[in-house]
Amino acid sequence: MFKFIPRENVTLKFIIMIYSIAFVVALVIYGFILMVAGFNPILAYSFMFNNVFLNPYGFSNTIIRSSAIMLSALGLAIAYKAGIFTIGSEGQIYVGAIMSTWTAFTFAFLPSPILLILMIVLSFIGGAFWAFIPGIMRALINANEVISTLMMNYIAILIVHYLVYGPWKDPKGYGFPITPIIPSSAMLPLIPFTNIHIMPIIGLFIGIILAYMMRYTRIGYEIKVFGDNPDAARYSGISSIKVILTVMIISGGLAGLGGMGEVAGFQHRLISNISPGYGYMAIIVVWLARLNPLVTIISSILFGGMLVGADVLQTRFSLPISSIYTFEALVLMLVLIADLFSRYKLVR
Amino acid sequence: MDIETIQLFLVSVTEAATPLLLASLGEIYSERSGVINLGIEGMMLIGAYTAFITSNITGNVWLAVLVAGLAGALLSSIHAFLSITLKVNQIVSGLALSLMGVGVSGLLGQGLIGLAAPRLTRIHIPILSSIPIIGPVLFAQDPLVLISVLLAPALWFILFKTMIGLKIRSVGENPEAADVAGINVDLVRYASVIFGGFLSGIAGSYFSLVLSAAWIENMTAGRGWIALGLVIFSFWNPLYALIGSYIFGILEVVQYRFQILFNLPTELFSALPYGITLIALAIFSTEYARKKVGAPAALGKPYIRGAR
Repeated sequence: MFKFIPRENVTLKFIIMIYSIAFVVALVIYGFILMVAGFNPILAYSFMFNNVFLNPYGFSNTIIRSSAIMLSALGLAIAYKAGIFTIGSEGQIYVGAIMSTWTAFTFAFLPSPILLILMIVLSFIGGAFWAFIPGIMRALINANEVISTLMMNYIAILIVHYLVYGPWKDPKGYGFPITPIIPSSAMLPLIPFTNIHIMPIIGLFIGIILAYMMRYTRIGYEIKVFGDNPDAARYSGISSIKVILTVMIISGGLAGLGGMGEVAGFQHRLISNISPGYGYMAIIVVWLARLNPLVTIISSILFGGMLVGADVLQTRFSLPISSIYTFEALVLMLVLIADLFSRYKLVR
Repeated sequence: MDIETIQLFLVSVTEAATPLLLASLGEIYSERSGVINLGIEGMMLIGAYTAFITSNITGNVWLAVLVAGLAGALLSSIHAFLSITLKVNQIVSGLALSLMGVGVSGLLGQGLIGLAAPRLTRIHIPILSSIPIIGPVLFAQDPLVLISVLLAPALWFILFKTMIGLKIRSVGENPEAADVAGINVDLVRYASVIFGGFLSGIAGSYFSLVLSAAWIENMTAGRGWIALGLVIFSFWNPLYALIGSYIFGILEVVQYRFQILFNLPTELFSALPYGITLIALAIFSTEYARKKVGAPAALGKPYIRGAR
């Protein structure tokens, strides 16, 4: 039988090497699958690279597409540090999107900055509330948060479907499941000289704040201790209820904010699939970043790039969007293995 | 309502319930051994894909069902390897499996659009099928309906009344004790996870061999996640899974009829299985219910000998 022995003195060079190998292997396997499906992988890869990273339009799209992933992933980084495995970001993005759309239309008379702040606050509260329900279930009766957050996702998505197919449907939308465009005062301003809305910048600041919180504050310390050993945390007087609810509210609120960015910055309306799985991608992103908030930001941009790449390949080679999930899954699996080999060595 | 309408209604219920039942029976075995597999949706899609293409090429529907099961088993063995041997986080690994299934079936399924494949036909069992109501519902259906209904008590018996079942439950409850008692924890877990994948694959084949005449991308439409909720709803018990999947099946069929009758939004009924699972989870997680019929104690925890 094989046994795992912890490695000592892991160098950064070694970690980078092992991750690069994982990425290359994922590219090779995915290329093989593309070939089986009848596409030329070399052509697809070079086309994708040229149009995503070597093209200013592609690059700004990459940042825009990474916005909701980034905000959700930052929240998940904190939750996973506490050992709370919520997978509810997807639903919380939808709830944040509902709240910001509702606010945009209901308070359209407010001046733009006040309206935007109100949208930010209410979408945060919406997402946080959606996370609070599974959070309180976990905190009080230890109900498995994986299942409960998953169920909450589906309920949130169905509420959006109800709204965009029903009462909120745009009468001039040619029957599409979309709401009318939000008032221009409810649209997020752009970063000067670009066409990127400011939510990714907000995400960057939040990342810095969270990194500071985890390192220098009492609650950050409590989250880490609780995540490492819940029993020890309880003996040392840390309230598990407080930690669980804090991380759930932060992660839910940030995902809600991600939903606000999609409505107010990207789509400018609520659509039936306002998030094409950003919340699930965030789980992979944060795992790749080893729960480090700042690395999470870089890793989300990488995934934003993959989404733009998938769009480009769909238009050029009519490759289905879902094919990108294959690549994401491969990267995730191989990084999981790589991660293990960076911490342990296999001996007989 | 006349008998004809009731029969028609019940037949649609069995068709909605059968894939849910098969997938949740598989997941019960996996979770009873201590491994949660969030990859059901992915395994079902791969099952649907492989069943369709096998049936299209060979024309043999039973071979198609078998291949779908094997494909599901193969995919689940990736999860088994990652979570049991490499001890990576089961949630993340299972999610990767689902992504993989959605992606690969979507990508390869492009080539199936516009094709047709032979489908599972209804088999009329003599005498039994002429019993009023029950006959046409159970004994004049595609064989997977009856197989899945019979599988539930059989798997219940194996899980609770045989040595094999005892081993599965003990590695899921207390792997340390099972290890000391000489049970190969990893082997039992591998077998349970792969068996779960096999049933999920077959559940997927139901979509492309019975429910739909053509290939549709993402044709399982979230049923894998409902099956996951069903496992909790059924206390990790195959017999309750039988009841639960038929209740969820009724909800699925009823939602379209109620919309026509009462003008209620379909989304309300679509959300019911998720809402019910959420409530069930809340009830079954309480201290009292946990003591009676709780989740396997070691669910989601990798077992490393000598580490506690």
